Amino acid sequence: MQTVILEVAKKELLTYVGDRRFLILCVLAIAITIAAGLGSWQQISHAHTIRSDAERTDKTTWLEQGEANPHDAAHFGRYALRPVPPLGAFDSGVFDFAGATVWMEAHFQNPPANRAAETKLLSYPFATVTPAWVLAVIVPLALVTLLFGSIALERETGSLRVLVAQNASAWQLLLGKGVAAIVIALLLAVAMVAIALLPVFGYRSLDIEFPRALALVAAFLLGYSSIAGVVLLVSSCATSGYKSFWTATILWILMAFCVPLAGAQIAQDAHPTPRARSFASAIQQEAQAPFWLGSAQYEEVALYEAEVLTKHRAVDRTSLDLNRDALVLQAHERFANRVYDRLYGDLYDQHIKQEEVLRMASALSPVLALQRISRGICGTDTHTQVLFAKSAEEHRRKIVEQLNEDMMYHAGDQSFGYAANRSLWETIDDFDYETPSLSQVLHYYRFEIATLLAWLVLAGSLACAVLGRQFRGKLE
Amino acid sequence: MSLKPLLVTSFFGCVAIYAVISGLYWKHATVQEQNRPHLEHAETQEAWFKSLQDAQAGLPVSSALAHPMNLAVLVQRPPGVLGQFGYSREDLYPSAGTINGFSNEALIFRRYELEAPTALMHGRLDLTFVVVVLLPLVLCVLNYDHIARDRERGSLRVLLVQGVRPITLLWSRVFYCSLPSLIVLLLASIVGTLAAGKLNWETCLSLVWWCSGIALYWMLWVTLCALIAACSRNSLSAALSSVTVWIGLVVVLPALLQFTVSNIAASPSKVQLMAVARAAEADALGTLDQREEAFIAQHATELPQSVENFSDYYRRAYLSNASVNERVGTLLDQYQDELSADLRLLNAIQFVSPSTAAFRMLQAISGSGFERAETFQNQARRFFREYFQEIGVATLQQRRLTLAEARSIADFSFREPLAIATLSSSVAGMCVFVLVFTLVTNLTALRMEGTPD
Repeated sequence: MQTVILEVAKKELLTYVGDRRFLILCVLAIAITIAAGLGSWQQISHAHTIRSDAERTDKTTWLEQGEANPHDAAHFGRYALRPVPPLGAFDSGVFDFAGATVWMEAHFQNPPANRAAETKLLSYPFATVTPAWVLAVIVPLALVTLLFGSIALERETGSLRVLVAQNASAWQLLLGKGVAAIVIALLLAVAMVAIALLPVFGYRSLDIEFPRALALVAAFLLGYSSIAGVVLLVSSCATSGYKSFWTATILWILMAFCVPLAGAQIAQDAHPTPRARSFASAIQQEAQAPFWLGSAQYEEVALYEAEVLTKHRAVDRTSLDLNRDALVLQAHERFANRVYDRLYGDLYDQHIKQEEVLRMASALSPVLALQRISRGICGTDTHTQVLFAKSAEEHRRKIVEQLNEDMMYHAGDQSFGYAANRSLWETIDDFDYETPSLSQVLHYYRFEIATLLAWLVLAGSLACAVLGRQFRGKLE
Repeated sequence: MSLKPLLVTSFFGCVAIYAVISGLYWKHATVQEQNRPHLEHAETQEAWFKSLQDAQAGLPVSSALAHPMNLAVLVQRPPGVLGQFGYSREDLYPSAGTINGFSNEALIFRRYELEAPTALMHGRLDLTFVVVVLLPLVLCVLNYDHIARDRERGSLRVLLVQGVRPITLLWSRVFYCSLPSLIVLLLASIVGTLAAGKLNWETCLSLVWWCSGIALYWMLWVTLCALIAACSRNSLSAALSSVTVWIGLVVVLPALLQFTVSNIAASPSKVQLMAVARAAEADALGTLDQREEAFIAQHATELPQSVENFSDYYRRAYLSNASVNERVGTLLDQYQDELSADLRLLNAIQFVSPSTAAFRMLQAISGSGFERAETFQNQARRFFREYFQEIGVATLQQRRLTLAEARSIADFSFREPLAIATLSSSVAGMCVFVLVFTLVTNLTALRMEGTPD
């Protein structure tokens, strides 16, 4: 029994290795991966340098601003710069379309800004060549061209009948072909990921976590195996070679392009994000106007003042020599932050809900599931971006509070005439943000991983059932 | 018409209709958003003008109201004439910004980055996508085996014996199967334009351009499909060739072109611009006193004699902002020059990828995409410079603007750009492809007359 499986696998592997179309596609994919890898590594290294320079400039500018009122300094603000993940060179994910910096200023929460995609001359639908794109989109096509005739062409040429005559069972045949396909998938996953990651040795400033690279190989192996399973299923069902090819190709187009696009469309329709002007109006009407022009100030300031007095066990403001202007400014921060928690909370909830729709859509497409896992492992997904935005906002609140409190406790009667110096600026921490760990990422993308496994098992079982029925029909 | 073309064309039609409806919905929502009252500032433009009129009528008005520095102007980029057909990534670019005396050129557009990055990355299904990506696939599916099928069955020889010329057979089958897809697209475009609102000569002209653009791209793929059909020996090789050509031209080549352009002419980084602008801002604020003296010296004739002793809040704010703008404006000009050079390069080499050329051509006609968004941002910046100059003189002279002065700078209107370079290079490139494919197809078909197999 094992002999039959091994014989089939061996024969299939020899056929695959000699398949001209597959070899051409593989050579093409490798060439594009090398070019994409080199280009992406160069770009990520450049982005890394730009970010380091910008961070340095921001810090120097902050520290050397001279004497200034702490609240003026809070308005001048600081920038939170999103870290450049080294594996972004492998898969830039959504990061080109997400803001790379957050301006942390007084009174306002800002969304991440300075998106790289805004300066890209072409907004063509599939115009981002990264190693991950080649591996997730082009290599599955190579698998399609390799495997579409695996069973269909054997049926056409009559060699399937010979196997039936030799008492080979459907599952033996399928397992043999499956083993060969998985061997090819393993070779492709290891080779392509390795090729894509090779240029890292030229960029010593970028360190790659080895477990993440291994996780990528495992993800691509699982993804390729699932796709191979689907193509084998198509080949088992199709009545001729070219029908099998068309069906497998159309499925590839659906999985690689249509499902992600339709998923994104549905996600945006079902969970729309607010429009920029409505959002800006909401900020003005809910976070600014009620406090500065309306009556909300009195209650908010009284509450905050009571809190401060309780904290210091003081009876009134004068006993602490608190500056009233600073008290009002910080009271506004507390007032506005509650509004921002709601407005930006809703906004990021919508982003996450859109992600959930795409997560569901990935159940229909192993390619999309694979892409999502890859982005997660590389740290370039929406989840990471939202965490960055939230961390930056937390940091902004800390900075503004620290500066307002300095003015509150030290300005006395000078109020806005009070000036602090470098010693205060130096107490402000730099923005620091930790990306999710690999185990967190794998936990977050467990649905996609399960999806790939389900596709593999389902496609394999169905192919076995279809082929078994055909075998029984022929034997009768 | 047999079942396969009917099914494929019907499905294609449904997708096109969905894309048009979805585009119309987007355009409607965008127009509604742009027409809503301007509530982003504490003192709205309406209230500002009312205060100014009151002040001119001699009524008591606080000096903080209707101050030149507080005149808020909204700059907006309306949807393109046929914007509903190319809206896929329009939300990536800023479409509205506010200007007042406290803005600087780098901060006109703020807090617009609200869309989810995944949504932006995948884009939306618009008619441009349907034309550039799906139309070629539909044409490939419908036309790949016109000759190979007959060759396999042996009926090609019979047809030739009956006097049917291969060239006639090929082109008649190709046009018969392909024409419905063109008709579907043209109808969808016309209906989509009529449903978008009132027609004027500009819309009609754009629609004619749009339809011509679609027809040219359709013709390109029809000739290419005919060539594949003429060259293929059997159905399987025809299918393989069609899919390879579709993937090559629609997916891989545009991606490689983008990759090449972004590596040869790397677009200037916004993060880098932000960092240098910030350093410039800090520098300007640090030397404000010197700037003040320089400004007063430059505007000596316009300022009242007492200005040297005058140091009110608005004047200082204006001077510090003028200083920041001067430095930031220079950086933005350099940034813009780099982008223009990159665009020229893209226009020069885009002909190698017909799909890219068609995509950019359709974007230019519909009024969408990067170039238009960049033009808007530049126009807004130029407008800001004029505005800032005008309020500067009044602010430093410690007076309010006159109604006439205020009205002259209170409205911004976007002037549609003419993307002649993009259009001409796209059209020329595609015409060359159509001619070459037609010629080679005809030669192949003529050769078939002698040796049909």
